Amino acid sequence: MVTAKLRIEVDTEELHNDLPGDGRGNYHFGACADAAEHVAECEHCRHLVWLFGESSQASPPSADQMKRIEAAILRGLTPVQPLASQRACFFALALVFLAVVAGGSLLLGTDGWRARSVLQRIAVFTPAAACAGLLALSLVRLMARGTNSSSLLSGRRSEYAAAGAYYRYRIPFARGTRFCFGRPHVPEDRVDLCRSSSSLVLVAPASRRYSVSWLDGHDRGGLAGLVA
Amino acid sequence: MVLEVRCPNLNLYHILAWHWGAALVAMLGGLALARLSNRM
Repeated sequence: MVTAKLRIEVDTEELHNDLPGDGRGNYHFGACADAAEHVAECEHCRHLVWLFGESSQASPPSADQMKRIEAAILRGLTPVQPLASQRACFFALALVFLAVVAGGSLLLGTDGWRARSVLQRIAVFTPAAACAGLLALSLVRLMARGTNSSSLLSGRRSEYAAAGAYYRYRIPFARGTRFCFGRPHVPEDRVDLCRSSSSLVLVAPASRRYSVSWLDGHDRGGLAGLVA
Repeated sequence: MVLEVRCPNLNLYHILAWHWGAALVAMLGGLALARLSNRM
């Protein structure tokens, strides 16, 4: 419900305008009753709103700094092979399960299978197979796929998708933290930096996952050094 | 599942002690492994 309400306000190019606010770094979720109610209850969203509001108090980076930052980001981006579909992962796990059962039966024998009546087989093996299937399903649902923006979101973060983008990382930045967003309409080969009054936001295509060296901990001080 | 296919002993106490015991040990082993991998 919250998602639908917030999506109404997503109609501009700049990411800061994707969030409900006045476009100058002041965000007011109070304009939407459902969103305000959700933000009041959800600590993560409250923190997100606070961060975006706080960002308006910092001075914006210069154009030269923006260019250097953009170059550093583009240098650090490496496309990551997305995971297979959930169905493929599920069948792979099922295959592993069947292979283990078949291997074990071949090596250890099937005396237990033969000793049981038909009813006993049903009573024992049906629940066991169901448990295995549910376990595989549970594992698959825990996986974060790279090809679908919404599936990257784990439960509590799904609210961030309401702003027309998905939260990926906080970007370490000289004056605090900023966010990295992927948007479905951003072309595959394009990575943009958006700026509001002082926020710097990396916008990457939602259809592709990127490994960013300075985000992934290999070169964490790189970007901060550029803007210091 | 392999244990059920392999073991012909249908004694109730054997199943409760050894089959369920093996499942419990496997579960605890998986839990410990997951906790260890999270710490690394």
